[in-house]
Amino acid sequence: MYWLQILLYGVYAYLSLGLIFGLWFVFKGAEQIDENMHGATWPTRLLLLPASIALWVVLLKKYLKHQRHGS
Amino acid sequence: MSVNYTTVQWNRQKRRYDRIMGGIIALYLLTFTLLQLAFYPLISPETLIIRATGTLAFIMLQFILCIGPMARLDHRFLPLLYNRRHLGVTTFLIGAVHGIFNIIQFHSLGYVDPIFSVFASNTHYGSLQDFPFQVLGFFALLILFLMAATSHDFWLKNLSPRWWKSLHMLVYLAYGLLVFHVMLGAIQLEQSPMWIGFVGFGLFTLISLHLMAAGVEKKRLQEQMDKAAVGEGFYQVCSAEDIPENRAKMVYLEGQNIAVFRYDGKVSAVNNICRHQHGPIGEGKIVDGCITCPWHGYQYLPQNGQSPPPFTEKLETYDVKIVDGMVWVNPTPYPEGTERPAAIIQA
Repeated sequence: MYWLQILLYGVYAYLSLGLIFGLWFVFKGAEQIDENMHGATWPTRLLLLPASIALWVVLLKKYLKHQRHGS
Repeated sequence: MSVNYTTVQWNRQKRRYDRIMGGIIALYLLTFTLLQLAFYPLISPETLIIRATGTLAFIMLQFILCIGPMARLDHRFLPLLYNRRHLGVTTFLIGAVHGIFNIIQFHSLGYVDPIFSVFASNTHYGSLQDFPFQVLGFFALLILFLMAATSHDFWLKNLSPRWWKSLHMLVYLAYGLLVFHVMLGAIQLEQSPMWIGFVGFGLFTLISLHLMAAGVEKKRLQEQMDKAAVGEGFYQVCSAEDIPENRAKMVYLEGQNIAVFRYDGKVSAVNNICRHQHGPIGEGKIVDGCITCPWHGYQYLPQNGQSPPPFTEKLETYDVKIVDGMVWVNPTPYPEGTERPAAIIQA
């Protein structure tokens, strides 16, 4: 089960990075890719946090693409 | 709809839906607790919570999956579809309580990581009799988490409807995992065949409802195609009298899914797929002059398919005409939001 331990550490590392990215994303990044986020309240932003942590790679890719194309 | 996001899009109907849901959940938990205390007076609070939340989450998921086909078979079930999102999130939260209490009680008191323990405490992966059924529940809960966490409209828009829909179709995989989670767990832990019978009955009901709904839909489409007369690009779909006031007739012509609405002595046709979560617009009705999707209440004007300002969603529209009381539709779509004259029903 050594491989499982390694895999689990990998998942924890992924989620830790996701937490950092997610916090930045829900308070800053989200409004840059979706104009409807302007003026969103704290509870709304926090509601988006769990999925931002879990799907941070997808969001980062989308954010970078948005920055490159500017739309 | 496309204005700034709110935490929860509540309205009067959704609040009522949630109150009824909360009441039924409370009633179930109370009844279950009393029965458990009657049959197992020495049961610990942790075990009681694990059993109550586990059974409740499974029943709720089973019910959620039945709502779609039930609403197709009988339109009286449509109100259940309206706030299914809250039902789904609640199911995940109840399932999460079940999972967390299990991990605390069975996997967190040793010296290894609790999550590692879920996978490694029982390694009889090759045995049906001793299979570590908790692992199946773990993955099912993970899917339910992803679905609940992405249930906000922000995710629908930013993950794209297709991606979002695919993610949420994983609910069937979650249900399958939970069926095996319960079956294999019950085989190991319960002497009574009651639980296996209970799960089997639920599975049978779910499959039967889906097959029946698919059969009815297929028959409806076939009848429609058989009846449809064609002329100058128009298909005859039904008599104007066949469409109830403020309701729609749904037709599938040349690959176009179309909802033909009757209202105020007129008939208009729009695309049958809601821009929000791809709900069937034609199963909704006209409220305050707007077509209202039965799933989450998104609205569109029948004559141009546009959501009323300040919203920006738009549907494709189609040409409609009425000849001798029969409704004819041209399935060539106009671009989303194009105004088309409604056909007037002659008195």
